[in-house]
Amino acid sequence: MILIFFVITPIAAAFLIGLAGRYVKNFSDSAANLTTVILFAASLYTLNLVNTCHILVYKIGGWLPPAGICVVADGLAVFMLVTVNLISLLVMIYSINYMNSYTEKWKFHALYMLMLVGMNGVIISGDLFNLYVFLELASISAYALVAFGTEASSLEAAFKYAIMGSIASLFILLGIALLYSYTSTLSMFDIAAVLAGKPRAFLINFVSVLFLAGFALKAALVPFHAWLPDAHSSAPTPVSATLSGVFIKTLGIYAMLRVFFSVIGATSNLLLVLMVLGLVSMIAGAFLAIAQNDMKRMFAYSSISQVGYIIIGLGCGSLIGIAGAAFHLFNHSIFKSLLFINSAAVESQTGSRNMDKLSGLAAKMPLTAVTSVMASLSAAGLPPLAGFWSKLIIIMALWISGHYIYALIAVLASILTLAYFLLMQRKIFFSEPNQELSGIKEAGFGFSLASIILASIIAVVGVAFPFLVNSIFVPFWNFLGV
Amino acid sequence: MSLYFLCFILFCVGLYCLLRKRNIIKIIIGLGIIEYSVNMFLILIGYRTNGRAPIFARNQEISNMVDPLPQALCLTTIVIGLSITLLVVGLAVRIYEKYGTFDITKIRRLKG
Amino acid sequence: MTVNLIILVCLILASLWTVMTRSLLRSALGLALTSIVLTILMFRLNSPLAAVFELSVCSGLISVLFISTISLTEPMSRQETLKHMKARMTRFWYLPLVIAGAGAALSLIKIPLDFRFAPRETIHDVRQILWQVRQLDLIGQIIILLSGVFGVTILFREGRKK
Repeated sequence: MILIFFVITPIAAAFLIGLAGRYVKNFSDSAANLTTVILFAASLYTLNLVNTCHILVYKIGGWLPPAGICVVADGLAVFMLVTVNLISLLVMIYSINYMNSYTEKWKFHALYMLMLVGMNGVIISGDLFNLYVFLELASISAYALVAFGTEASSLEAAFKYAIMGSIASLFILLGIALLYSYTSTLSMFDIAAVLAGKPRAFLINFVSVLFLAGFALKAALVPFHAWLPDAHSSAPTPVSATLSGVFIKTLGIYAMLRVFFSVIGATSNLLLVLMVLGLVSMIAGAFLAIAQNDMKRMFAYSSISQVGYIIIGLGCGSLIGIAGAAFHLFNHSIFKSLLFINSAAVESQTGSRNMDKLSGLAAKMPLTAVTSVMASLSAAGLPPLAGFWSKLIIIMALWISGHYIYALIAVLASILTLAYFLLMQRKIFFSEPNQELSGIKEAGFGFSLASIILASIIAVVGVAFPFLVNSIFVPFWNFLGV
Repeated sequence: MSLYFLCFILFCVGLYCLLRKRNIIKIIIGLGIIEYSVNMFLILIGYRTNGRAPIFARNQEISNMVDPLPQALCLTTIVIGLSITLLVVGLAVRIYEKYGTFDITKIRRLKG
Repeated sequence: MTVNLIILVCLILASLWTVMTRSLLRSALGLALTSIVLTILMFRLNSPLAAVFELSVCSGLISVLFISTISLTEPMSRQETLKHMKARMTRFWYLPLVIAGAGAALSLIKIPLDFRFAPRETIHDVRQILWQVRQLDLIGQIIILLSGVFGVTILFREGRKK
């Protein structure tokens, strides 16, 4: 019953904001923040529930699976729920300050709530077609949010994203239709059961290809990544932080994991394809990131590279690989949101995102500088920050399953990550201050609060990880149910 | 079997239009054609030869009925397709206002 | 079954005309035509609800949307159109051969597709499935429509404060 709450609450919030946001000043801010706080609390409560009873199932309207819809939460789903709602909470906190430079910001909050409905729905849905419906809901809200600034560049980026995303959705829908025709059920568990009883047909390979293309487009793996840098760099920064932090992971990686590992079943060929895709994204993303001089574009390419790590972890197919991938997913959403918040702070104070024009901000914006250094080091995988442990687990998983070359390349890509982040830090924060940039001070309260919370999560998870690993993480990962 | 194959050809026609055409409106039309082909496919997988429409009237026995679930799915996908088309056409109009053209090769302010 | 096959071929021809015609207006009309042929096919395949919906939404609403958008631009001149058509004829002369070849090859290979339907006894009415059994889908699609409309209202304003 608590599960349906994750869908209903943001819908109600969106309706309320749509009705009253135009007339009541600051209503949309407070309603959106309140909703995300409630949702985050609910996700922690669900985590507690799942820890005791391992899997939650709720049948909508009491109809049984072949035609009726179930919502399901197992360990992995709850993990994603916590991540998504935590990030959306922090994004909402700092958009209090940031969105003031836009007109009609209640529309932003209403659409953001609808996007949250979509993401939560994708996570908890136990029915393939219902997953598609929520995926479309999240995508449509995201297309509109990318175009929120209505400048020429953001409209162009939104159009490109909308077309690419719609192709991906239609591929996924065709795959779902084919699976239905083969098994005549839509519930994930039933499909898995039916498929286990039949010999593997040619049709299943075709469906796998369709799903792979669709989800890789949604997750922006390298041959399919063209939309991501444009969409991330021209969207308003809270939207970029959400897109990069949780959106592409929920719609791309989590949905892919669900479909491949718990419905169709992963074959060795599929795992090989995943590993190659991950490797290519990891390297290409890192090299492209070095060449950028726009902060947000650099972070966008860095996202592609880090998503490559997650995919390569999944490609191991072993439990430790998937656990490392899930942990890196969490870490990436934390540090990438923090980096986007920092870029928003810098942009709102100096009016520029171009790294060649910015210099010497460390003295004027000390909090931003310190938090962004922490995020960068976590991204590059330096001990004892959180990113180090997840990369270590992924590389260990690669080594254990015998992919030595992949492990080596992953280490090298990590060094590249360190290189471009240090380059960025030196240009923006730790260089000789420029005369034009005088009179700049720390950005508003929302920025500071959100970045302090995120930076302390990075530090605490990193330092406490060796102590927590046996008591919390191992039992948690053991019932990820993959 | 040949029905399914033709349906797939329709999908490919839409995909060709979407990938090769330069006009934004043409691209959106291609998206529409792909949607039609998927709707068609959903109806086809529920079809049985000599079946009857799955709408219940009183005093009718249930025999050899067309599978109703794909039809419900088809209705949902039509609505989803409508809202996507709405949004994308809106984007196209705004792009035309900003750039003065529908030609995708001239709309290149971003590097991609 | 043969009639269905013929209608489906007509559908593909209509879609090809939609894609290949040079004028945007004709292309939009072609989309409406495609949708009408699709409606006929859906009626023949015993799905009246989907067919009616398709007719009203796709060939009604969406055509109006496209035609009002296209009225923003000016059409291409006649000579230009002719030139383009000739160029395309010479560019794609091999396409019919490729399709015929692929069809022949596919009929020889016989891909083992296996479409067998499990019997279902429980629910037999589309309306019941749509309104009661798959409530969450219904809520989802209403919210999707809402967010689409909302997205359009976002687009038609100036985003940044001056």
